[in-house]
Amino acid sequence: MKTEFKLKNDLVEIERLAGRVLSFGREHDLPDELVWEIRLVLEEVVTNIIAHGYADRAAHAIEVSIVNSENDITLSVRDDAQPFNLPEHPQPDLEIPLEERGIGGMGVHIVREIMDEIDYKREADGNVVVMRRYKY
Amino acid sequence: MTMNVTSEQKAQGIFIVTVAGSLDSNTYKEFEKKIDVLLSEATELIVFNLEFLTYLSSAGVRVFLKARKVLKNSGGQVKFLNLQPQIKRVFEIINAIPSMQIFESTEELDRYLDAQMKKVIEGED
Repeated sequence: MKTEFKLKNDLVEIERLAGRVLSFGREHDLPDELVWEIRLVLEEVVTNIIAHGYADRAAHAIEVSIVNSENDITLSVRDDAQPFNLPEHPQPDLEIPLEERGIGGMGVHIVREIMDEIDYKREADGNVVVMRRYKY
Repeated sequence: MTMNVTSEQKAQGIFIVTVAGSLDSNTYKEFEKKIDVLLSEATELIVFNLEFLTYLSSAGVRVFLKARKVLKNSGGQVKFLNLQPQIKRVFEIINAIPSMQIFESTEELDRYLDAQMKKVIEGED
């Protein structure tokens, strides 16, 4: 019911992430729509960490887990990056025309729109974000 | 998860760009490079045909928004064709649909292009 894997802080890893999500979906016979949501949410969260999370140029590991339960899908992402409180990140103003809107925050907004619950914890050496999507 | 871009020049300054596959944070740079070439003052219209786009994330959306912004500044336009349900949903989530010009079919696009060409020809007379 669960898969866990580690990604490097390099955007080429997004392809591997997608592959892991698609095979998890097949193994658990999840609907395409749900698989698409998991893939999109994890891509946005991991991309954000890779693009903005590190002050150095060193290699870092990002730990991802996907749990398929009877009533929900739980996604967890753990990193050793700078503090980033995803659920409390300011909401972009969607009423402003796109050209005038800052493009930052779009990924975080997508994550919050799709997931039903998002919990954030700052630990001694990194961030842990746990996101839940109800099935019903 | 590959991405493929083809560009067809329909008329002077009018391009149909077909992007297929997965437009994500790994593939968007290659897409952006190909689009940047078209972002000149001579470009009046880019129509992005998304019929074969199977996946889109915010990294890909940014390239579309950039193209629109650059062309708008030089009097050009960006329009979209054939949005698949999951692609449409991404645009809906970020509330982009109201400000996007979308053709529902190739026929609709062709009628639009014919009308544009007619205007140009009539203008020349």
